Amino acid sequence: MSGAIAEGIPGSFKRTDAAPSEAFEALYRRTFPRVYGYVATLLRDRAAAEEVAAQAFERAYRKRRTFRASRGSEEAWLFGIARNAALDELRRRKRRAVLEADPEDVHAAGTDEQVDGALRRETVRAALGRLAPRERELVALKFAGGLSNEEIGRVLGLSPSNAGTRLHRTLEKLRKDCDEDA
Amino acid sequence: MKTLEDVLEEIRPAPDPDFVADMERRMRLGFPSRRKRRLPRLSFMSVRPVAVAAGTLLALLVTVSLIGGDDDSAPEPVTGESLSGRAAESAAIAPDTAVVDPAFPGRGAGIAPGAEVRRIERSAQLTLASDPDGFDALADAIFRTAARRDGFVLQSSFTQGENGASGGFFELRVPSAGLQAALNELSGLATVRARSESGTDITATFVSVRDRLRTAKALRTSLLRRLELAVTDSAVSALRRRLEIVGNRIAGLRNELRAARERTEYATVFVELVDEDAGVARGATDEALDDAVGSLEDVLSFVIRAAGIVLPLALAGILGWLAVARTRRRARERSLA
Repeated sequence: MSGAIAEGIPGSFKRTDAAPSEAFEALYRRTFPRVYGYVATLLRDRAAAEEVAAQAFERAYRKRRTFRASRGSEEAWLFGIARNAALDELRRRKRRAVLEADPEDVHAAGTDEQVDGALRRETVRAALGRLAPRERELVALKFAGGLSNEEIGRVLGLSPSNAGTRLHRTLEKLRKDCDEDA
Repeated sequence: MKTLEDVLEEIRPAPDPDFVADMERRMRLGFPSRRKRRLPRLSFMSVRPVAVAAGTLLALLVTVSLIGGDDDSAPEPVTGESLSGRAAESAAIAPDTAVVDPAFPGRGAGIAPGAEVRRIERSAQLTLASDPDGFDALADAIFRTAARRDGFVLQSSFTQGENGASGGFFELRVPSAGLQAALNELSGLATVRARSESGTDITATFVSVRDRLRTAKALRTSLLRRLELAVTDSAVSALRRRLEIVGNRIAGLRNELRAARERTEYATVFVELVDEDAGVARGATDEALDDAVGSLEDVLSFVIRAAGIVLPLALAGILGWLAVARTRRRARERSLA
C-alpha cells in the first residue's frame, strides 16, 4: 500500500473499521463539493448527481486499498471513479437531460451589478449546455472539480499538454459563444 | 468585470444541504452500501483461503486424472481365458509336446504330486567384491573351485581397465548335490556383496517327457511285432515308415529327458566380480543421486502437467478480463458521444 491515503494511518483501512480513516475523511472533506459539482455538470440532473456522487465515495472507500500514488494524485484517482460511475449512469439511463439547476431570477430585486452578474452567469450556463458532452466534461473537471491539467489528463487518459490544449480550445469556443449570446 | 473562468467557478452546482447532511452521516458510518443484497456478502479476506484451497484441489484433481488416465499403460488383466488361449496356441505350434505355460513351467503339465523323486532345477547368484588387482587370482580360484566340485565353467567374461570399470562374470555348472558346498567355497574367495538362490520344480515336465517316451517305446514294440507278421510288401513298407517316425520321436524325447535330467542334476551358479572400493562408495552416491534425480523428475513432471492446465486457463481468464474491461470502457466513452 502506498500513497497518502494508505499511509495516513497505518492499518487504518481494515474493513472491520466502523468509520473511515482520517486520511480518507480528509480526502472526502477536501473533494466532496467538487466531485458533486463535476458529476452534476456532467449529468445535468440533480437527483442523479447525488446518487452518483454517493456511489463514487462508496466505491472509493471500498477500493481505497488499490490506490497507488505512483499512478497519480488522490484527487485524480477519486475523480476517475466518479467519472466511471457517472458514465455508467449516463449509459444506464440514456440521460441527456437539460440542466435542472434552478436558474437564477434575473428579475429579482437587486442592484444593477447584481443583475448583470446573474445575467452573465445565465449566459455562461446556457453556453455550457450547448457544448459537446466531452467538452463540457473538460470544463467540469477544471472548474467544478478544480483539477490541474495533469490530473485531468490522468482522469481522461490524456497527456497533460493535450488536456491543456483541448481545454484552451473549449474555453475559446465557450467565450466566443458567450460573446455572441451577449 | 469577471472573467469567464471566474463565472465558471461561480456556477459550479452546489450539493443540497440535506444531501450534504446525509453524506456526512454515511461517511461517519464508513459508507455502508445502500444496495440490498440477496445473499450475505463474504469479505474477500474470508473467502480467499477457501478459494485458494478449492483451486488447488481442482488443479490436483485435474492433474491426477490426466496422469492416471493413460489407458495405453494400463496392464492387461490376466484371466483364465487368456491363459488357456495362450496354452492352446502353444499346443497348436508344438502338438507333439505337452502343453506347458512358459510363465508357469509346472502348471501346464500339472504338478505331478505322485512322483517319488522331485526334480528341482536350482540356480544361484553370487556377487563377489575384491580389489581389481586380485581379479586374476580370483578368476583362477573360481575355475579351480568348479573343477574341484566336479563342475565346469560354461562361460566367462572378464574386464580390467586402468580408468574404466573392472569386473567379471562367470556361469558355472556344478552338481546340484554339491551346490551348497560349492557356494560356500566360492563365498570364501572374496567379500560377498550379494548371494541368492532359487529353485524351480520341473518334476511334472520330467514325468511328462518320460511318460511320452515310454508310450513311444511301446508303440515301437507293437510296430515291430506287426512287422514280423506282415506278408505284403506294401504293408512292410508302411510299417517301416511308421517305425522310422516313431524312432525319431523317441530320439527327440530322449534328448528332452536328458536335458531335463541335466538341468536338475547340475545347478547353475552365476558369479559376478565387482570392484570393492567403487562398489561401496559409488553405490551409495549413485543411489542418492538417482533418488534426487528421480524426485526432481517427478516434481518437474507434475509442474509441467499442472502448468499445462493452469496456464491456458489463466491466459483465457486474463484475455476475458481484458476484453470485458475494454468493452466496458468503450461503452462508457460512447455514452459521452
